Amino acid sequence: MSELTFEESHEVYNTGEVAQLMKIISIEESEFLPEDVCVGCNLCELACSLFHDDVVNPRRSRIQIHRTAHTGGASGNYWDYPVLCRQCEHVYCVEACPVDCFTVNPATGSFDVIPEECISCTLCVEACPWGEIFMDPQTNIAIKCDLCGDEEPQCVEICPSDVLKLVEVAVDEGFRPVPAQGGMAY
Amino acid sequence: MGVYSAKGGYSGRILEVNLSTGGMEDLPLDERLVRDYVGGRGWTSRTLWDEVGPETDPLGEDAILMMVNSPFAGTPIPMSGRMHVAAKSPLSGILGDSNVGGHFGAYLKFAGYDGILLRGISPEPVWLWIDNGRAELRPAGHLWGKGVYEVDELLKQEVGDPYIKTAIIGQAGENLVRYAAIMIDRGAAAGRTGVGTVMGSKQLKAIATRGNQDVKVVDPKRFFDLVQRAHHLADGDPQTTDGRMHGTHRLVGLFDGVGDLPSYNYRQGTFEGTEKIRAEALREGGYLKRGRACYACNYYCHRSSSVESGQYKGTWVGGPEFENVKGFGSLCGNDDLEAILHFNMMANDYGMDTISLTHSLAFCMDAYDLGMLSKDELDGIDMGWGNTDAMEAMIKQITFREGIGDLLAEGLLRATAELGRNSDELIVHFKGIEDSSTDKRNDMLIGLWGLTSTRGADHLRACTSHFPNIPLDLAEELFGTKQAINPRRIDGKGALIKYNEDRVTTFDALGICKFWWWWSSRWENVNDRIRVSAEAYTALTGLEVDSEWWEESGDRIYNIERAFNCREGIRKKDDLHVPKKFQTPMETGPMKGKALTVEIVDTLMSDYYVARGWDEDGVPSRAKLESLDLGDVADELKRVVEKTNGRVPA
Repeated sequence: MSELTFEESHEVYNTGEVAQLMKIISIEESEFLPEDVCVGCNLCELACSLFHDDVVNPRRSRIQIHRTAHTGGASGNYWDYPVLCRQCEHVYCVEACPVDCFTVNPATGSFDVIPEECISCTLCVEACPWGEIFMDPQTNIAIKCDLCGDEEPQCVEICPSDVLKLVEVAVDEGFRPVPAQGGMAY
Repeated sequence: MGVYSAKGGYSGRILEVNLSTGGMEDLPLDERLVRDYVGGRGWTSRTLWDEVGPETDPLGEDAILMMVNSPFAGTPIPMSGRMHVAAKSPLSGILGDSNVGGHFGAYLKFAGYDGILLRGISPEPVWLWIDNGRAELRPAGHLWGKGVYEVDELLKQEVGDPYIKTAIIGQAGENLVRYAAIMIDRGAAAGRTGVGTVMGSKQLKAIATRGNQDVKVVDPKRFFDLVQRAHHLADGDPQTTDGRMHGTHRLVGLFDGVGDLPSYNYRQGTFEGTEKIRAEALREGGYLKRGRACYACNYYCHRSSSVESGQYKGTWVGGPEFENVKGFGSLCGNDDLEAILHFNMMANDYGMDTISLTHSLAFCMDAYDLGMLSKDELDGIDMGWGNTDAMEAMIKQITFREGIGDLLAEGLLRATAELGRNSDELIVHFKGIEDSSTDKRNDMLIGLWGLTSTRGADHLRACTSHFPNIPLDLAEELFGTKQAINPRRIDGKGALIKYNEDRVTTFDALGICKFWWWWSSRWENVNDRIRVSAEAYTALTGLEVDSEWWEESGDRIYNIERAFNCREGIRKKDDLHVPKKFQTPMETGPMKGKALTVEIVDTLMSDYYVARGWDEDGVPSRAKLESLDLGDVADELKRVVEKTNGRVPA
């Protein structure tokens, strides 16, 4: 991981010294096959926390499985979908942070929290429009998807229905695409 | 032995709740429980032996209800979310238990508990809220009388969190239908043997839980490595693809082809309506909507289906599973798949075991057809084969104990004893539990499941049907003869069944789902999986286990279950009960002419007792028990056996 400050990272990033390709985790569900959707197994949460923290605790995972409300009453249907940092262009979290405790990983393009610097103010959590950065309930430090450093992301590896995919996208002069997120709308 | 201090996997605590007093206590784990009984079913069986006996009324104040997850619960070991629920059965009067999936078991671990032990009877309806290490009983008067789906919503609203996991009984449990179920997360049933009835008798409407406690891992790197190996073992396994597409529903077509699909209350082994209710019909009809998984499961066989038009429009239900399609379908001569889905949902909402329930429905149809029961006696309901309106009406009668439903809610053994007129010849049960899975006249590998099982009728104790894969010389080495794996011969079956039961039991103790871990398409894969899970257990908990640990633990647990039953009065004569329908040769289909006779069973039982180390009456011998460190059990059994040889009524 890079040791640059936020300003240094951004400068490096904007001058193009950072890789022109960045990685994001994309959620892709099949419209046609009932088994190629998020099945709510929560294995991604478990793998993420085990990889990052050496314990298993889904509430400390950087990917969270959310569930829609039941349609058609109490007995109706619902579906599960993954929620994780979409590595957005605006980096609302970074912008909101009062102590610049983020750094960018040049290998992936991901902005990551420096745990020792985080003051648990939760402003980043409030700033993210999609709720994709969380407070770790045990350490009270902000956590978000860091693409597992530069290794194969654990959630992508373990997802049994192949819904999570690691995708490389081209970065065009600082414009970072917002990948598609969310479950199928039915 | 002393208190077990958990370093990994286990949380180290069981929540004990006394519903009579409202008192609660965190019980530390006994070291012996962990080392000798592992978890899950091991703990429930040992506790039942210790706490409950012949003088205990299954629905009385002294009865206990126990739910235990496992060391693997809450970890990414695949299919590790299972939970074991046990009590003295109000249906059979012997050991009762049910192993269930869903998410509750894992969430209980995150809440900081390995299990829940429920005692007493609450003076008022209550529900139990286990919130991150803290537990409290809350009033449930406003929930009583409501179905499972509605209560699940209400609980989530009450605590303001849609992500809690729930264990709820429906009206069937409240009304003490003897085969009521506990519904886990709305769609997974702890169904068999009446564990829901026990929960209803305690006036406990629901349990809900959540938490953010860590599950510690002693050797995280090694554990993660083994987790990945376990996941890779599934890849490329044809069983995996099949299970994902169709779940257990695929067994409908499979069994019909073989000729042992229970149809028309076991009159036939094939069903002419199979094409309309098999797994392909679910998919092609557009009813199958989504893959869905239990916790940490990479197999996601549960699925989710719906009906969007017609009489049953608005039906949404998990599954359907084989037992429900067979039960509401072929067993009742019904080929309407939409009706099956609807009845499945009803049974989930009312909280009832669909296996026992559908036996009651099929019995009514059979008796009606034979003129044994009149329409009048059936509350004016025209119980013709496949009459779906009649089925719907009768399901309600049973749930609310109206009319003949009051009798049927007692379970078919009691109901037919009351009815007389040889109606008991129509029922298919083992030790009072209505039979599951296939017709048992099929072959020697499957036919004996309900007889050797420690909870009566069962398809998840012996699990022997995939054995033809085993190499012949290995069969000879393990079971004394190559013929052991021949489904047409009785040779070596005792040893084979014991071998299986011991290994399968440890899967239940470890809380991992047998549907994938055990039901492999290749025998040698099972051994790989056993090796991986044993190593994972060590990496997780720090407890060194050797190659004998797996089967020895299973053997010990099985013996204590058998001891429990013997103390209740079970002897060889009970093991020899073969339903009349199975003694009668099959009349049509590929299995034509086959029967399960008492002679076959007698031979088998003697062979099985020898393999098990039990005496000629099926009572575990002192030598056997002592070899498993169960000398205290041997002392108790000696006392009981000397005192009485008869069955103590429930």
